[in-house]
Formats: sequence, C-alpha cells, structure tokens
Amino acid sequence: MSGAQRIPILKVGRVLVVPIQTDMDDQTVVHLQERILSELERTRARGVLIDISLLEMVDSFIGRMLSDIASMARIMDARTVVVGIQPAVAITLVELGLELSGVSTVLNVDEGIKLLRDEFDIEEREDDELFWGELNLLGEHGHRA
Amino acid sequence: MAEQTAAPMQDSSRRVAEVFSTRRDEILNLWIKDRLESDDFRDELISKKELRQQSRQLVELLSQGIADSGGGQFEDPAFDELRRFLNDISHLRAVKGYTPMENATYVSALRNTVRPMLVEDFEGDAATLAGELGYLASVIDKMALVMVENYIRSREETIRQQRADMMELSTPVIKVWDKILTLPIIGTLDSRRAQLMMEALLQRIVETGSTVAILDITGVRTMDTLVANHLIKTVTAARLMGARCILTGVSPAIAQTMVQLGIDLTQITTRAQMSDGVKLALEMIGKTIVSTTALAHLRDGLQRNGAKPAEQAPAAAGNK
Amino acid sequence: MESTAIALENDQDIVVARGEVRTLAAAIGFRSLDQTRLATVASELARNIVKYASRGQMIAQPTRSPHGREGLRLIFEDDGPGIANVEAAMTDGFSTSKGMGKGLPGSRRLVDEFTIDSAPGRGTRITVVRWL
Repeated sequence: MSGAQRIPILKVGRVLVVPIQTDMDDQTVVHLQERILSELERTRARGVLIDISLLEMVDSFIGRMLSDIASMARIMDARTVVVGIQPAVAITLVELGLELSGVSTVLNVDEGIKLLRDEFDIEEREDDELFWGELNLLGEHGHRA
Repeated sequence: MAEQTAAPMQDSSRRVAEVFSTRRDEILNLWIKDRLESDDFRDELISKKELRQQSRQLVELLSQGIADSGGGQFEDPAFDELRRFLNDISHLRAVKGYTPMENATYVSALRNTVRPMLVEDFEGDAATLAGELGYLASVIDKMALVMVENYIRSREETIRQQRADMMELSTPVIKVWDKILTLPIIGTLDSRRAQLMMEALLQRIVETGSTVAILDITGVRTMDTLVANHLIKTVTAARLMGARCILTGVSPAIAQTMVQLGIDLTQITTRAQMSDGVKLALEMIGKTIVSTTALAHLRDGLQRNGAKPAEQAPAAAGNK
Repeated sequence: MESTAIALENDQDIVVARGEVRTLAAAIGFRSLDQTRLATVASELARNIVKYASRGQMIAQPTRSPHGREGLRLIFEDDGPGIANVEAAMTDGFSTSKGMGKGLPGSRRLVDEFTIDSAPGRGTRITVVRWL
C-alpha cells in the first residue's frame, strides 16, 4: 500500500507549498516527509509552507513529522512554516503535550509568505527576479516599503 | 423484643392520626389564622386564598402520611407525597422571595397549633401525651428541614443560572485594531469560564485573522492554579495557531500568588497596563503610535528635504 | 446507538478508527473540540496496538452514566506483549521506542476516564470515556 495517498508539493518561487487536504495514514506521512526533503534538494527551495488548515486532527505522529521536517529542512538551509492549525487541533495538541517546538506557525498562507519573506528573507521569486524587483521598488518609492 | 417496643409506639402514634382526622378543619383554621396574624404573613407574596389552599393540602397529606405509615417516621415511603408537595411549595416560595426562616416557621407553626389539642385530648395520660408530642415534633421538624434545604437548593439553582448567563455576557473578544484582539477578563475566573473564554478567543483569532491577542486581567481579583493553567494553555494554543498573546493588568496580589503557586509565566509576554499591551501589540504588527507634534516635525523635515508630504500617508498608528 | 468494533492491523485501520470515533462522537452530540480530542485519543491508542501488538481491536460504544450523562466509551484491546511497568508508561516522557512517550499520558489528559489493564504476556486493555 505504498503511496496510497499522494499529497501535492507545489513549487512557488523559492518556496515549496504543501497543502494537506486529507487525513493521512502513517505511511503517507512518512512518505511525505521524504518527498519534501528530496524536493528541497532538487529544487533548492529555501522555504517550506505546509498548510494543514483542513486537518481536523493532528496526533503525536503527525506532530512529530512536522517537527522533524522543520529541523531537517533547517539543516538543508530552508525554513519551515506550518499554516492554519485549527483552534480545536491547537488545544488538543497542547493537552497532548506537543508544542511543536522549532516549528514556526502562522494563521494563514498570507502570513506564511510574509514570514518567509520578512523574517527568513526568502522571496517567492527566484534570485534574479528578486534582484530586479528590488531595484524597481527602490526606483519608485525611494526606499523599500 | 423489638416488636414489643415498637407496638406501643405505633399504637400511641395512631392517636395523633386520630386527632388529625377528627379535628382537621379546626387544625387548619387555627393554623391559617395564626399564619395570617403573624408578622411573617406577607400578602404581597401570597394571597390568602392561595395560603389556605396550600395549607389545606399540606394538612391532608400529613395526616394521610401519619395514617398510612401507621405512625412511622418521616422517612417512611408513606410520606413521599408530602415530601414532594413540600419540595414544590418551598421552591415556589423561594422564587417568590420568602426567606428560609419564613419557610421553616410556616411549617413549624403547625406544631404549635396541634400541641394544645393533644394536651387537651390526653390530659390524664402523661406517657401518651409525651410520646405523641415527641412524635409530632420529630415529623414537623423534618418537614421544616425539607423546606429550608429545598429553599437553599432552589436559590443555588437560580444563582447557577444567573452565573451561566453572566458567563455568556462576560467573555467579549474585542477587535481593537486590524489583527489585534483584546479579551478583558472581569470578575471571578473559574475553570469552566476560563475554558469558555479560551475557546472563544481562539475562534475569534481564526475568524479575524488576528496575530496578536491582549489578555487583560486588571479586573480579576484572584487566580488559582487551575485557572492559571488554562491561561498558559490558551497562550500556547494561540501560539500554535500563529498568534501571540500579551498578558496585561497583573495585580501585585496575583503576581504574588502565581509565584507562590510555582506557576511559570516566563514564557508569557506581560505588560503592566493595558495601554502598554496595546503599544506592544501595535509594534508586533509593525505599527506605532506617534504624537501629532512629532508627526508635524517629521513632515516639516521631509518638506525641507524636498519630499512631498501630501503623498506621505498620515503616520498615525495603523496606516500602511 | 450500537457499539462498533474495528479490527486494528495496519496504518489504514488507524485512519478508519479515528474517523469512526469522530463520526460517533458527532452523532452523540459532542462539540467539535471534543470530537477532535476523541479522534486524537483513538489515533494514539490504535497506533500503539498496531505498533506494539501487531493486531487488536477498538470497540466504540455510546454510554450513559448513572446520573444520566451521555458519553462515548472506547476500548482498545490486544494480545500483544503487554506493558511491564504501567506506571512508568503513564509518565510523561517515558518511551520504549524512539520518539514515543506522549501517547499514553497525553491521551489520558484528553479524556475524563482512563483505565489500563496490562501485564507482560497478557496483552493490554485500555478503556477511556469522555462525557458529554
């Protein structure tokens, strides 16, 4: 039953976007972790944005996967942001004793992109695009907004 | 042996039943008269007709109970109906605003009404009289207890209901700025209320897309470990969702108890006053509050340097 | 409502178990937070069985307390190796395999009642209840 469920991994600029939309079995979770890491290596992306806003439950297994991805990606010089943990899921995680240490969490995809850009200094665009974009911005306003 | 001692008691108790059945109307009239004349009677709370009706039913159920139980104790199932009736009227009286004292004296006055009749009927028989009086006293005392106990229960129920209503009212989550929520907590925090507030706050965080929440406890007088843990849980859960919390208005008394209870609040950002919290929250979302004078100076400076101030958005808090 | 039994042998069964528990919890009238708590407990305890005992089952039964309170009872049973030191297993941070250790004590915090019956060689039976 390998790869029974296939979670999409999208590359947007220098960020891997992973929208998780279904309840995953453990094998899918393990598989996803491996795929994200190999995609990081292949695409040289510098950010991973995992959207779990549709997940109704995060247990210790999925929680550990998220922490592990964050630490492994970090070693590969990429930052991980987990998006959209629902209130019920957040409360349950706290009661379970999982605080997802080392994982940056944000409310929605907008905040996720903003965090990767502003604090982790990762643009959605490729390097050269970013360069011209910056110049453009400087030309228009005299300083970066 | 046991039967021998029980038999005369039952026998003598039946005499009270006799008094109740033969002189019922007399008892009722005297009792009601006494009640109407006493200071306790409050015609704004109960009508004479209602009192009469209520009392009649009570006397009937009591004499029924004594007769059916063969002069047994108040715990006997024969008194079940009387107990139910007492429950009903004490609840009604509690709702109407009688005091527990008034509830009890209403019933115990019945003893004072019946006592002279017993004395009259058994004048020559001291042993029977003592036994009958003792029995009557024990039954009526227990009836009075039911009245008081039930009164308290009704009151507690009312208070519980009011508290529940207040709880609903007292968990307002207010959006003070784009992406900033405040939760002013006022009054006594119990575990249930703390939990409701936590859930309401987290829900609003999602709905409004707020990244900062200010929990203001200026209005909280005491805090125990359970409530403090709920608070910590809220802050941690909010962080998992991507929002940060600021705790403001911690009174010296609460700060002291927290430390004494060994509650670790070092993970939580705190500010003395709500206003400091608002200031920090604005900074967290990249805004600041600037005085208008300072703003004018800034504008002048920019003007001298040749920039067009008209294009500069007013630099008050919150404008991009 | 009838009770449901679900065989636990592989990863897929864990997903089925937690899905079934959420559905049952919703039918009983549990609000969304409690549905999540119960589904999470089911996931943790079902995984324990698949992982340590290879096979076992979960029984989910709607229940009623002596005071008339409605609730959901979940029973997880297996004939696996059992737990030698139950007390230690219930302590935060205890683990017999890498990275575990949140499962049992964490699950206990998500329910109202938690009983565990286990001994080496006798299998394990964990019963949890959450009241509405």
